Amino acid sequence: MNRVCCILVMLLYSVTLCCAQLTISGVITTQDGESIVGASVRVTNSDNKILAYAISNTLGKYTITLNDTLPRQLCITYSCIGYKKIVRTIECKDAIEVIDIQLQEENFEIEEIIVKAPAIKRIGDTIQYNVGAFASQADRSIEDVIKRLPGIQVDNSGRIFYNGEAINNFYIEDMDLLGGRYAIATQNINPDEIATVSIYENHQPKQVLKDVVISDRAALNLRLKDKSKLRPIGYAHAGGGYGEGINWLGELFGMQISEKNQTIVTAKGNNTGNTYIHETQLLTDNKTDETVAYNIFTQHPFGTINIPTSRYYRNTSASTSVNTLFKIDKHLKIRAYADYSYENNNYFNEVEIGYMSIDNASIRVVESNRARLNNHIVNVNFNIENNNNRSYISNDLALKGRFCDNTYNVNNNNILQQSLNNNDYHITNEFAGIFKNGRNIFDVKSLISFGSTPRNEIVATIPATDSLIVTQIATGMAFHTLESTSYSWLISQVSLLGIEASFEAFYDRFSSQNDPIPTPSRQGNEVSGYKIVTSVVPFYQLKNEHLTWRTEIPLRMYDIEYRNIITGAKHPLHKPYIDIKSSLYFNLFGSIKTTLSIGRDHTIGDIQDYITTPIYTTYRQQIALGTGNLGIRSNNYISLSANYRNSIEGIFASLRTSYNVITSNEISTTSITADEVTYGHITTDNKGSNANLFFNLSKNQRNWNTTFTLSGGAIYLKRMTQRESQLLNVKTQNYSIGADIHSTFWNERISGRVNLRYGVTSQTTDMQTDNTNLHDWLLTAELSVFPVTSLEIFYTLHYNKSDLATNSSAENIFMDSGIRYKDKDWVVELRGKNLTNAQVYSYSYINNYDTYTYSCLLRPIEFILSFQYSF
Amino acid sequence: MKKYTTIFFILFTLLSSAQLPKEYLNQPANLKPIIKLDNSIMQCVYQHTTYDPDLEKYEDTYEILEIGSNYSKYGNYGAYQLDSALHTYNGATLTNGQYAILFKKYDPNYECIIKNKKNENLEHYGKVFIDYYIYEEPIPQIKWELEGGKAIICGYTCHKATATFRGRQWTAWYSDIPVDNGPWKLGNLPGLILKAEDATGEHIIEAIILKQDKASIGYRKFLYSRTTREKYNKSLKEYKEEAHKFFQGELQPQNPDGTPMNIPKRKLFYNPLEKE
Repeated sequence: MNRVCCILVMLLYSVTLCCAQLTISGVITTQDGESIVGASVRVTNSDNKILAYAISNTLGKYTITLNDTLPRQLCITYSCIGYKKIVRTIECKDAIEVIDIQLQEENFEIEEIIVKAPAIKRIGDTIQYNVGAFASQADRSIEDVIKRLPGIQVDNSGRIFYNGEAINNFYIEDMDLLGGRYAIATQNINPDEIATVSIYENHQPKQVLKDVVISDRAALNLRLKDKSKLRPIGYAHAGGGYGEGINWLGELFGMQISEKNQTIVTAKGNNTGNTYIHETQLLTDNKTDETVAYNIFTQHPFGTINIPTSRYYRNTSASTSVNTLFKIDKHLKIRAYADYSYENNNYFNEVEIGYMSIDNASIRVVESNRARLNNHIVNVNFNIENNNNRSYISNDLALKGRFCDNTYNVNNNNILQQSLNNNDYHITNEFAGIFKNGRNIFDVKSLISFGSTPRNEIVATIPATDSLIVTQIATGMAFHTLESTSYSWLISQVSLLGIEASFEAFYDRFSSQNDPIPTPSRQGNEVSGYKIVTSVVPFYQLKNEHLTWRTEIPLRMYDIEYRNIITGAKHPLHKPYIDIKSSLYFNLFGSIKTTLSIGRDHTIGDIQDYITTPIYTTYRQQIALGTGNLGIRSNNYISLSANYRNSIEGIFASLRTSYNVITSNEISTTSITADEVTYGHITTDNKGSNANLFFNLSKNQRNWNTTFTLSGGAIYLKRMTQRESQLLNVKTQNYSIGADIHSTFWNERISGRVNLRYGVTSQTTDMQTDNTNLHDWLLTAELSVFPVTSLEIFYTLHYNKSDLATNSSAENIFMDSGIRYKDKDWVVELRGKNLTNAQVYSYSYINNYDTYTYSCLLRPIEFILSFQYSF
Repeated sequence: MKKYTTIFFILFTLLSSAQLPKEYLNQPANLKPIIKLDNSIMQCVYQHTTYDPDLEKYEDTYEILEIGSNYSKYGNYGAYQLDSALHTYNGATLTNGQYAILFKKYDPNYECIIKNKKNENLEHYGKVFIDYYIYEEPIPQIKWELEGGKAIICGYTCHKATATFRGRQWTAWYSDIPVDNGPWKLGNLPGLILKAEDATGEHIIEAIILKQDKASIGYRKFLYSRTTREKYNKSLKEYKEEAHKFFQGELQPQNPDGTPMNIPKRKLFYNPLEKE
């Protein structure tokens, strides 16, 4: 029986399989007997898998040897371009097969294919966007293209976000010319000059820390076309028109980029509503320390509006900047920039505030305001940097001056005038040195910052009677130094252990008085003191190809002493605090970059906690910044972020969520009467929490020339506050969802964009029986039509419907349109703004349990004709 | 050599927007003749992405494989486009000025590899600084391992194969188009190679166009010096890494006072395809 089974198995085996070695050879010729060189011979099995192959030589001969166990039948394909293919099937019986083939001539045709340059290409951690694939004729600057790139968002200030996180560096040809003030480039460079926009994910700008310290931020790099390098490029733009009065504008932008030097120069001015302050502001991490005195008085004490200032500012704006960078060698660069901005902006608004009192009654205050803001800002910066894979040395010196002289004409049953005069100076020097020696890394940092606000004053008067209502002066000085050093030891290829020690010192002085001659009943504040933080932060990092885990345990010793110079009271604190932070970076399901962080940190108060005498910020509003006790807050948190991208499919998705529990020893308090509002703080232990969730999903559909984006968020905030000596719990929720579609079609003759956003803010407090809900709808649409290539007709629509706190709603509609003609380097444009001649814009929002309704007088319908020459 | 040096510097200055005498621009262009070898049956244009780890930069260049019955040529796509444009003159006189405009537009280089199927040899036409060189070697018989993967490259289903060749580990994707050829010196697979990349990611060559233009295969008759593959590669490496050393003797620029000008040391973008 066993023998029979064996025989049966062998027979079965032999039916399907053949001998172990087979050699197939032969000669391939034409029908005239000429040998064919380079013909392809493939041997495949029944599944069409290629088992072996050969190429015929100069004599037309080929030989294939197969050594593995072979199937009974093999398929041999003979092919060569210009000849008809022949397929033979052979039984695998003999060890040697000789097959001579004659190929018949045949017309050779292939399917012609042209692959467009990929719109999005991934090379390692770099995502490269081909500008040509995303640009549209309607684009005015490279920022218009960047806004359209999937995975990238740009806010109203020009700040760029990748997968929800702000970028940490902006480069032009891999060099940082602008030091974070990249709106100068993105809002002025013509997209025709740019070849690609690249995102460097997990960008570590210091080469010595590459592959050692992980970064969860990204950087953006513009790469110019070859034709745009080594020569000056830019534009000159001038125009005039009429609206409320005569409109004018004049702008000049020039740039030259070469391997050793980059320079950008701008000079601009207009009164068409566009301000220039945003162009020169720092959009990456801000290192400037402000004095307490500078931040006391806001530029908009009677509120502002959540629409672009160009809709309602009557302005005269001017700005000039010079930016230059020299590449001394591969690693050493020197950069300098200087800019000056002047803004004279006027606007008219009305605010209606509904203050909720504890007996559920409401105190309503209505103010109308005509503001004239007059600001000068000067920035100067020098930077030298040597960045190589063994060391990083950098020194950055920044000087800043801000001067403002504002006037507010207010009508609150009485006509009054309030003025704000402010001078502020600042100088900061930041040095960093990182050195790598084998497995050891040494890190030295020094930050020295000095700010002074020698003059900061508001004066409120009643012009009709020439009587003084309020005089409030606040002056201050801030000195800050941070010296740190760290040492890391690469235990192994994957493990890093280290310790960082730092010494940080703050010295602040603040003085306020609300009368030229202080009296006991009108005393101000006179506080000075220091805060010294000595930190030791041991850390450990584990990094392999699958994940990175980093844990830090900061131990901080606080030595604080502030002194109230008026009363002589001293407020010392000498106490250590321990924090912890642990982050895990890994790829979920192989392709979703995920970061999970948990931790606990403390925020220890400063000089503001001892500014207890209320300070007037408007003629009827006061604020006491502190309680007289040092504010101490601990924050326990957990956060998760996940990013997915498939550059070939053009899909980018991001999700961020976090939950925080905050324990504090002080809460805010408000006291309201019909004539005055006082904000302050009191000492009481309390706990609050907040949770948020944000998502963004975008898909670039190349064959439709369309990008779809869906985004949204949810915020939940719970905190305690005090109103009229009663402690209250306030819960605020905000939900928003939005969709954006951008497309070009009909051979790019039509380009359009539609953005729809819905948001709802809901608030409950202990003293309200009903929720307060405010709904907000926003629709923006842009359309450009090109009847011929050189002619563009464009149109934009802005529609907003928002609930007002007065149980009504407001609809706001703006329409702009224009026509643009382009001929080589010249562009002529006629633009009409606010074509519906909308007069007023209104909206409401909730702050604590008070509702604010703002209305603003808009710029009326206006036209401007402009000419631009590009070089 | 002096004549070529003169022409090189004149063209270089012209392309740098310097002012040249009008008479020169109006003179007939004296172009090197093309030696024709074969007629092209099909062409494949590749995008070649190269990474230079010293400069930490990527560069894209475009190269074209022209396939004929007996010869094939792999060279710069800009040079192919320029030659195609020059064909439209068809005997009419081309001036130096017109040629300079075309040269600037297509930015060609005339380095190429020509494979001769009949004698199974390839000739490499190259340039180091301003000197032209040629070396010859047998067409490499690369030993490929056939793998199981499939991918769509340039609209064609391709099969995967791997091999080590001259210091790099290559992954090639070959199609069912029965041509034993591919980018650079790669070949010896039963189908046209449409994509090749080395394991380090420093070289990625991928087909982006497949077409059948009527064109001839040939090379420009510059004055080539015969050398060997090893000597050529060594010389090219020296030039790319220390180009300043080549500006010596009569080629060294001078300061206005007649003293020799110091040329700064600078590495040019370079990452050789063959490391041995």
